[in-house]
This record gives sequence, structure tokens and C-alpha cells, in this order.
Amino acid sequence: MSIYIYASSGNVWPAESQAPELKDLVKSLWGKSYRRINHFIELTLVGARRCVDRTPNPIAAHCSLVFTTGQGNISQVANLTRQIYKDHQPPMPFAFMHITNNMAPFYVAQALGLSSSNLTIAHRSFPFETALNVATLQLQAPGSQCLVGAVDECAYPLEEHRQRLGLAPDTPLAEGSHWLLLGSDPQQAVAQLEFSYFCDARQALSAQLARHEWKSEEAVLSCGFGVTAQEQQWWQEQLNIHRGYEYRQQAAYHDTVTAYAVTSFIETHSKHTLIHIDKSKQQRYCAVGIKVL
Amino acid sequence: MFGSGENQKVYIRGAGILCTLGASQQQVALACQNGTIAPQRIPAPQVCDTPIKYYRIGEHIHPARTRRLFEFMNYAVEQAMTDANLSTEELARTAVFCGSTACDISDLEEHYAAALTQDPNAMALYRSGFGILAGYVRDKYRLGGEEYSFNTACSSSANAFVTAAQMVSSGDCDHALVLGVEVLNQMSLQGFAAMMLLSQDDIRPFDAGRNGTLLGEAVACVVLSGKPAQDSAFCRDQPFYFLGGANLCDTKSITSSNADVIAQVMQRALHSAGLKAGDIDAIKAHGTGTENNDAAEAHAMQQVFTQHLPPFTSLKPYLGHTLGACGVVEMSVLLATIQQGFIPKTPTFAALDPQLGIEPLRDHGEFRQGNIMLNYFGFGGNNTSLILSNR
Repeated sequence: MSIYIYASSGNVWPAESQAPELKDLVKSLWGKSYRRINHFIELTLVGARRCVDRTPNPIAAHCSLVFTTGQGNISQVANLTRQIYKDHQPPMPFAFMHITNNMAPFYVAQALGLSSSNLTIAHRSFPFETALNVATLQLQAPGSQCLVGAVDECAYPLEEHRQRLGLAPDTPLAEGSHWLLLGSDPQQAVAQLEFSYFCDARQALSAQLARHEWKSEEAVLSCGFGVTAQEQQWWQEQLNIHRGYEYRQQAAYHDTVTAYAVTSFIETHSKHTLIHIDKSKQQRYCAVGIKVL
Repeated sequence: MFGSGENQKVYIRGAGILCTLGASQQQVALACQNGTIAPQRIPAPQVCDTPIKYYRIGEHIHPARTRRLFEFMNYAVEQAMTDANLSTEELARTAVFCGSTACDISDLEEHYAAALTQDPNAMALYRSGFGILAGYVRDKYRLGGEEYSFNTACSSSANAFVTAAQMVSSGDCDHALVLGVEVLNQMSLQGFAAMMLLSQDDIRPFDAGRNGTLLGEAVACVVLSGKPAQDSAFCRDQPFYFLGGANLCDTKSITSSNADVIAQVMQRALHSAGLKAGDIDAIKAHGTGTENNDAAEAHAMQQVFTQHLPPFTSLKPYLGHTLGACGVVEMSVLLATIQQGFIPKTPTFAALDPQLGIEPLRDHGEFRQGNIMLNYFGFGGNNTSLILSNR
């Protein structure tokens, strides 16, 4: 079954001294104020709205939603843990209610009037790629659609956040909210999901990718934060792809940054195929192929 | 909507469980047969003057005192893998699906509490990431398939189960370990207490005097496979298989479900299983014991089962509400008791609520073979219904 992409939106906020203020932006995008929602939900609402605004047709009520995150409401969870153990204060009801990760896509479904499946998933290394796999299951019926969201926030202070994520002290960080609308109908599609592969070894991934043929002038390679410059060079030679797409400096690290690579590529390219490769700390590989139509 | 459609049948090939009732399918079934209800009292001075009742896994069931989360997971996974008798070759084609609400918070809290005794400015959460539990199981047991973590509140492991079944059915993976994990942590306990959702006495699902729920900890694991294991204790005689399931988000309220949407998700599960309401022989209700959720679930069952409401029960009085784990935990308990020929009564039910007009099993119901519906509803309007059969 072919999977098509109708709209995309990639949004990054480079981490600064404090989290970006999004309340007014959420209000301007959705035309209403949300009380008591946290920053993670605000990020979610901003990205989702910008994607929905680019869809060729209104989102159908039966459109399912697959939401993914690496760290979820990390800021709120850290705050509540401190509150309970250090300050000996119980959590406030709304703060507690909102720390479950599926609250963010609940607000999206509510705002869009969806009456459909709503799944929140995570993966320690490849959350976005895993979400694409799960979304595929939602697209078995003709005419089905699936909104895929990939969101991550930072917890302040950033030194602690880097420590939690196992990153070097000077690693640039960002928050992100990246969204795609997928479906099984080729009409009005802007891109096509060609493949997603998970492999335990580089040679196994290389063998999988060797089954595909790309015109050299149309293929573009991008790599995730887990891939070194030297290894990227190896992939370029192995796949015979000479054009690269470099998004990492602009996006900075967050767990769902691959979703930014894909969404920003769709927004800035046409008639090209992106092959994105990443490697986890466990030395596993994942590749996603997106053909922009 | 999910459904096994024309793809291959998906069997429950093995199971492992660790909960307040015991540490094996046999112990759990026996405890249900005896009507065991054994919550303990846990101090939570920030939110309650008196200790809160909680279904804690006692040291007589499992001796772990530290890193209980990982000890419990190891125990349940190894039990399920032994039961399913997966070969090394099969493990190489096995994926892991984990559903949990609190994920590894219990472990992070344990670490933080210890760190604070050394340094008042210690960092809360020394690590983070919601995919950690599935990743841990994949690495430890050298599984060759993918890892998936579900975080949809109280329907987490039910959604993990339905997705896993669909992936095995469609051939995306050959076998799946599906885990439900929830281990005692102050975040959940105090959060529920702050929301005034906890009962001061017992969980009494569908009872006129119900006044809230109680939380519990449990870890359960089931192994899904395209073929039943002939030598598995769990599915020796009439192996259970997945017939269908559905998930539907109710966007009317964050915390309580609406009867119409619950009815819809049950209808969709029936449709995906290719069944009519009259084909269901028993229902495992979500049955939290809270005023609104039990009312919505009761009214939804009446909407779907217009001709005849099959016998139904809630297992939460035995286990507590194990939140994200309850999908696989309650399934494991139910299947363990069916192996012994019965569906457990709802032991705390005493008085019919005239507003609901229905009552769960007051006595254990004889049951050996049939189609069972299992319902799970979570915060964020996340509703899941699934259907298993051993017919």
C-alpha cells in the first residue's frame, strides 16, 4: 500500500535562556485562549494548526492521530517530582492531569473535531520513524487519513536537560513540533512515503537500501545526530548519492528532529527523494525515504 | 479502526504476571476464586492525613525492595517467555510493545529520594525518555524485532496489545511480547489523591455506594504469535486468539468518558471482529468504581447490548486500578481464571444502583469457551475495546 503526504509543517524553537512564550501564538492560530495547558501542549497545538492550515481539504472527522515524543512533558514531570520530594507539596490537579503525554493530542483532536483513534507512542531513539510505522496501520481502509505529530520540549536549566539526555555540555538544543497529514489516496499529495527501515547493523540497512533505485540527480541524503561526518561520507559513497540536505545546525538537537528533516525537506524541495539515515546509541540504524512530488 | 481482517490469526501463546494477587497464573486464579482483596495502606502525608489504600505487591509475592520496576518486569517477561517457549530463532523475530502510564517514574523517584539525602539540590530525573522500558526489554532479552512504547493513560497497554496483534496479523513481526507496567510511585498516588478520585474504603464498581477507585501496581506480559504453543500451560486446551479491537478518542472531557463514545468504540470493536453484540459471551468492564465513569460504561453497555447484556465483571476490586498496565494485567487475570473454568465475580458489589439498572457478576460465573469483550478507558478520552475468543 502506498502512503501519501498531503501537508506538512516543521517548527523549531532554538533553546535560549527560557522556554519560548507561546500563549499568544496559540490564541492567534486557534482563535481561542486555552487555560491551564502546559508548554508541551502549546507546542503541540502550534505545530498541528500550521500543518492543518496547509491541507488541501478540511481534515475529516475520521482522520486518526498518531502522536510521538521522545521526552514528553519532561519539564512538568521534573517540576512535579521536585514539588513532591523536595518541597513536600502535592501536585495540583490540572498539572497532574496534563503530564500524561496523550493530553497534547487530545487537545488537537478536540480542536479539530476529530472522532477517531488517537495513539501516543514513544521510542528511545527513533520516535518519529516508529510513529510512521504505526500510522501505516491506521491507513488500511480506502480514503483513510492520519495526522502524525512529533513534539519535544526542553526542561530548564538546559545543563540538566543535556545531562538527562546524555548529551555533551555544548550541544545546541531546540524544541520542535512537526506534523504531517498522511493518507492512502494519491490525489492532491505533495509527497510520498517510500520506506522506513529499522536495522541492527549498517550492512543490513545498506542491503535494504540497495533494493531501491534513485536517479542520482534527484536523490538527497540527510543524516541524523547519531551519524558522524565520516559515516555520512560512507553512506554517500555506498548509495551513490552526491547531494546532501543539512538541517541539523538549523534545527539543533531534540529527540524528534528527524521529523523536522522530513517536513522541512518537503517544504523546500520538489521532484526530489530524501533518504534520511540515523543511528542510535545502541548502534541501531533507521532510514526513511520521502519522495517529494 | 483495527482488525485482524483476512490476515493470519493471532494467538496468545504465553503469559506472565506479577500483581497483588500473586506471581503466577495459577496463584492469581486461586486468589480470585477465594475472593482475595488485599490492599495495603501507604502513607501520603502531603495529600491525606490517613494512609491511602493501595494494592502493593508484597515481599511475600516478590522480594525486591529496590529497583522494583525492573525486577518486576524481568519476572513477568521471563515467565511469559518460558510459558510461550519461544526458540532463539523466534526471539530474533519478536517485537516488544510496552504500555504504561508512569513509565519509569518509580525508579526515578527512588533515585531522586536517595540523591536528596546527599545533596538538597540534586537533579530531579537523572535520565528521561518514554521509550526506555520497551528498549530495556528488547536489549535484555535480545529480541530482534522492533520496540514500541504506548502512553495513552489507562488504555496504554490495551492499545499496545491491539497494535501488536495487528502487526503480527499483518506479518510486520512474527511474535510480540506485550507488557503492561505500573509500579508504585508518589506521582500517580498523590496526583489521584489531589484529584479526589480515590476511595476511602473499597473499590465498588457499579455499586450504588461506589465512591472512587484505588490504585495498584502490577506487571503482566503476554506473548502473541501466529501459532499457539502446543506445550504452553497457558493455551494448552483452547488457546485464546485476537478477534478485533478499536480505539476512539472522546474529546468532550479530559477526565471522564461519555456513554455514546464508549458505545461507539464497543461497536467498532465488534465490527472489526466480524461479530454482533449477541455473539459476546462475557464482558470485562473497565469498572473503576468512580461515579461518572461507571455510569457512562453502564449506559454504553446498555446501548450496545440491547437484547441481552452478557455477564460482566470488574477486576479492579482484586487488583486495584493498575492504570496503564490494566490492559494486559486484567486480560491475564481473566484468562487465568477462564483456564480454571470461571469468570470472577465483582466481589465488592452489594447494591444495585437504580440509575444504572445493571449489576455485575455477584458469584463466579462458569465459563470455558466463548467470545469476550475487554474494555479500557483512560484520561484524555482514550477509549479502547478489544475482543478475544477461544471458541
